[in-house]
Amino acid sequence: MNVLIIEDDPEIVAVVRNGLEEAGFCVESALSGDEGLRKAAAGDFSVIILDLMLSGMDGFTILRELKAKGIKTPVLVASARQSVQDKVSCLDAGCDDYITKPFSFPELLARIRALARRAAGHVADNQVLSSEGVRLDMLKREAERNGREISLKPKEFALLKYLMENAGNAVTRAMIMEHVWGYNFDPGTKVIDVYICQLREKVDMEGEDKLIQTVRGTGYAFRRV
Amino acid sequence: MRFGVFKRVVNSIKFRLLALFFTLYVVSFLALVSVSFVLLYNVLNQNEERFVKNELTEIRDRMDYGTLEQLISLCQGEVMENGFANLLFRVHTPARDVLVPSAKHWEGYSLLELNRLEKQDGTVSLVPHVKGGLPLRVGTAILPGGYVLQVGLVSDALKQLKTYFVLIFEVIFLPILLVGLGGGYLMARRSLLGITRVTQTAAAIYRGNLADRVERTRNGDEIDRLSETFNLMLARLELLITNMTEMVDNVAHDLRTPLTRLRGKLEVALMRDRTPAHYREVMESSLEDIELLGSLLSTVLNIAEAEAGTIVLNKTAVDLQKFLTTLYEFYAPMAEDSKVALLLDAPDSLWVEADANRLWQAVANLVDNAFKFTPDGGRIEISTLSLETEAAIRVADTGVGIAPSEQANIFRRFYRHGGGAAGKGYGLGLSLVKAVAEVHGGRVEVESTPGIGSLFSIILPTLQSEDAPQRAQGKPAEPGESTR
Repeated sequence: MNVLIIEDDPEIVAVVRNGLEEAGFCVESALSGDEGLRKAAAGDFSVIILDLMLSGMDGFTILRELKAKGIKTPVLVASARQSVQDKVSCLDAGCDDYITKPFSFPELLARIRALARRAAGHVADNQVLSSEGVRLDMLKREAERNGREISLKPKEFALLKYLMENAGNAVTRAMIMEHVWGYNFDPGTKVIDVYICQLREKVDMEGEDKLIQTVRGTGYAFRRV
Repeated sequence: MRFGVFKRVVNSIKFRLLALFFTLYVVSFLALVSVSFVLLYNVLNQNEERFVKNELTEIRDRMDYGTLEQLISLCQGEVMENGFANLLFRVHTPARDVLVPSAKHWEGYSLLELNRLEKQDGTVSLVPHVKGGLPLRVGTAILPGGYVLQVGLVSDALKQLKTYFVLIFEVIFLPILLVGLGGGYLMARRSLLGITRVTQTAAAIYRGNLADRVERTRNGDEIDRLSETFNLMLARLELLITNMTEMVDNVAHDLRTPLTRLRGKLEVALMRDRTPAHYREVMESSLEDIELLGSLLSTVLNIAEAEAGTIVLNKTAVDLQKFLTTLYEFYAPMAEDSKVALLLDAPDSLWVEADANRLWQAVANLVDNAFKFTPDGGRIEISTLSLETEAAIRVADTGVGIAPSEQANIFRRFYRHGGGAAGKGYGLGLSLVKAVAEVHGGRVEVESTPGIGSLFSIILPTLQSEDAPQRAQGKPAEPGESTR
């Protein structure tokens, strides 16, 4: 998968490039808006990561130019501005997702993957989600692990589903809050930890491999150690 | 430069007021003068005309029973009698012999014109003086026997009026105009003095003294109200700036602690070679500190935005019953986990207009606090209360409570209840709750007894009930739907 980063800080570019390449992406970078627009038009990218505050040409202009040129590549805006208003104006200007600096890398990865999935047309919910021996049936709202039925409350089901959709990758508490509860901010509370604890008790029984991992400083991940 | 000064004078309110005053004064004076001039002129004209007509009638009456000689002597007598140098008589025979020797005054008027008028019996007309003197009001009567009588009156109505009006102009108009302009200038200056004061204060503040205030006259006029508003604005600005400075100090202080920890950990780890597991531990724990720094920064920015009133609220109609049920269900597992009874008492729909995300943040803060300060076996109750035009969201706990002396301080930023003994946290929670409530036009109240518990209420204005059902509820998205 090819990703284009339009960002004028070379060090951020270097860090993001390293991380993304390690996660298996091919990365192109542009240090200015003009260069970014040129590369976006010339190359075939799955996702464009755009810094909102570029020197020279601002992010909004680039967003509009991209749309004007008919480039359909999903754009993920990364910005130091955190207010709801900024997010709304960005989404209005045609960006597909928004992430606030400083961002956590797993969150960046998850958002890029989600955008790429959506662009590729794999949006439709699978009827059955299966990973590491855990099977979720979306229609019947049933969960089982290696044939053992797991009885889950609705929120626990939604939480496990979200973790499994990102199986192998970490998600942050803010992402969980946004996707499972629909509230769009850093919860700053321990409640999610409590939910995870209870989910863990049901999913990972004695003698089974632990599948719900705590990723320190980041959040949680569904994966085998 | 000179043009600049000219422009400033012309643009000043003082100048414009005076110019307006002057124009109004001159226009109304001219209107008054022209109307009275026309009226007076008409009256004087009619008087002159009547006089001429009377003369004609008188002579014609006498002619009926007299002779031509009598007429002539009569005319001469009339001239004598009146002694008017400006009353003229002219009598012709049909053969144009002049019977009454026309006074030399006639010479100034066109004979052609006079002869033309001879045919118009009984009319009175005005004949101009050939050399620009006073015009002559001439009446003609054709007498029995074809004799023609003309009576002329030198018309000085216009001249007299002119004299009067020049007098009025010099004696009344000019003095009044001068007095008026002078008075107007003084009045304009006096009433604008307040504005000048406000301008001077603004200039002083611009140079740096934010504590300055405009001196008030306290007479309640417009200028005083301007000064008051200006002072209020200054007070708010000063408060905001003081708050901001205080906040920057506090943030700097609170950032130092995790930064020091972070730096120390990393530096110590780098002092010699370590096992990969050790590095991993250090890095993970550093990441936790960074996460903490990030959330501290977000909270501070949220409060700053809310307090400065620059926050953009995404307001929708929110049903508190539904909203608190979601929140209650969110916290229910935490209650099970911490052996605290969590109760919800929201029996009816109660609509408010709010930014659901912000409101959630505020209520969640109260509930988090309740969990933090309520020991095992305690009780936390979330409830709604419908007041007249307001709705209260109440979070009651059976926790440690807050001493009355502390209650005033708990909404201050960075104030830690119990001296910070109650675990981590930056003392920002309640100031965020307060800021969010206030930005929604509401407030926060607290009742608390140490050892028994606390009751926090977020009180918001209710939405008019007829609006409520039509609007869509503003919860951002149902779980699972959201992919953004």
